[in-house]
Amino acid sequence: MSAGGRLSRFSRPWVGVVAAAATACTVVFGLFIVPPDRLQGDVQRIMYIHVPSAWLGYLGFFITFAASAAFLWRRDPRYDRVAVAGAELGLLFTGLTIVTGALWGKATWGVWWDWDPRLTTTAILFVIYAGYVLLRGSIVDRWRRARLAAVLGIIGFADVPIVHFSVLWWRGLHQAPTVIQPGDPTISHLLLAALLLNLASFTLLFAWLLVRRVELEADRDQVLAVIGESEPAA
Amino acid sequence: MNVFADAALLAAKDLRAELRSRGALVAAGTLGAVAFVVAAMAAGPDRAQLRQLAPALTWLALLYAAIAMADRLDLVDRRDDAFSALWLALEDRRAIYLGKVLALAVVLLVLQGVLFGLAVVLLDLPLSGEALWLAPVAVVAALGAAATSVLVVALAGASGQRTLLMPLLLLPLMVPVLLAAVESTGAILVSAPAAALQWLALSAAQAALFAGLGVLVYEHAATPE
Repeated sequence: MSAGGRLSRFSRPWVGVVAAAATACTVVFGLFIVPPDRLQGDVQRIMYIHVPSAWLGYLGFFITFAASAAFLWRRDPRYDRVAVAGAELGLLFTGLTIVTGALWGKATWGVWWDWDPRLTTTAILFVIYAGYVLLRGSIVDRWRRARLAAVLGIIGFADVPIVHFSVLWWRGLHQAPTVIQPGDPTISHLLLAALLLNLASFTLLFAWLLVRRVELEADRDQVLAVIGESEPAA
Repeated sequence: MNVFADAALLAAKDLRAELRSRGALVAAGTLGAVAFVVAAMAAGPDRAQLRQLAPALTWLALLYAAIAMADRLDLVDRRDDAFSALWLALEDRRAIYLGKVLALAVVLLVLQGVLFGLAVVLLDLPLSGEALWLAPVAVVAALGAAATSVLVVALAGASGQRTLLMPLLLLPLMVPVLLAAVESTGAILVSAPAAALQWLALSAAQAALFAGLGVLVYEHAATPE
């Protein structure tokens, strides 16, 4: 990376165009080509957005965790930029997971929300990282903000397994995994193909947004350095 | 002196300060009692339902008191820049974290005793010999809550919105401690202490995780500016 924090001058337009095209293709494939689920009907199509969003939400928070640990170790502002980008994208995709899950739950379970372990864990995760973003917003000094946010990025993610087990033991309604499980997936192969295609296009979109957000943060650091409100970015 | 001896000294200092002033401890206990009474009133006058809700009411009230006490123990050193002096004086700064966790855990044990006594009196809870199992639940929950609170209060305290961010950051992270304490207390009150063991293990895991993380990262969170 250069002083501007550019991840890649060449990959950005390429990733953006491919992500947009792939998302359009998967929308068409999921809505019009793949047949409806035998039991759930058309409402099952929400899963093509819900499941990739959930996976990418976790990926975003994991990126924040890893980048936060790297920042505390190396004190390099580039890791802080990646950490904030991961947290914001994690929040975006986790929010999408919650909204699409509520829509699916109303149609399938008859309620918008249930105190199921996976729903509750996801909601708690969302609140933890909402706190992360608010903590960052409440600190003016860039180095102090990066240091404190890194600590929260680590402890927030480390607590996730314990939060998950606590609510898992508490009660459960959410269906068991259908894709990641021993043996053949219990989902039709055509439906699985649509799901994986959506996952690929969403991941491209995620990568593009991550790069753009990191670049935006680097540009902001450069501007602050020029007007003398912050130290120059590394 | 090693880190544990320093931590014990610092915990003794914090506890002595609280005992001498008494104000904060009494205020936190009163806040917990008020939260308990208000929550019980909101739940309605049905005695059987209130007995069923007793563990949740008690531990939620304690959570309020814990946030107030964690804030107080952090502020007591931050005033007059005493924290900076501690920071410079200590060879191993992990002692500050461990000392504060120890002091807060002791304070929370006292508050648990007060609030549980209140619940027994107000809700007429039946107590048998198995209620002695509440002692390990209380100790492990106090350590878990203290290990989490001290770390989070250091983060929120360094921000520009201490009062708002403290509960916002702390409450989601305290979910395992709260659920474990409520479920294990409920199991003990219906004379099924064996069912409390897995919750006790979960609470212990939270305490161990945050104590370990706190030892590793507290210095990054609490560095005086």
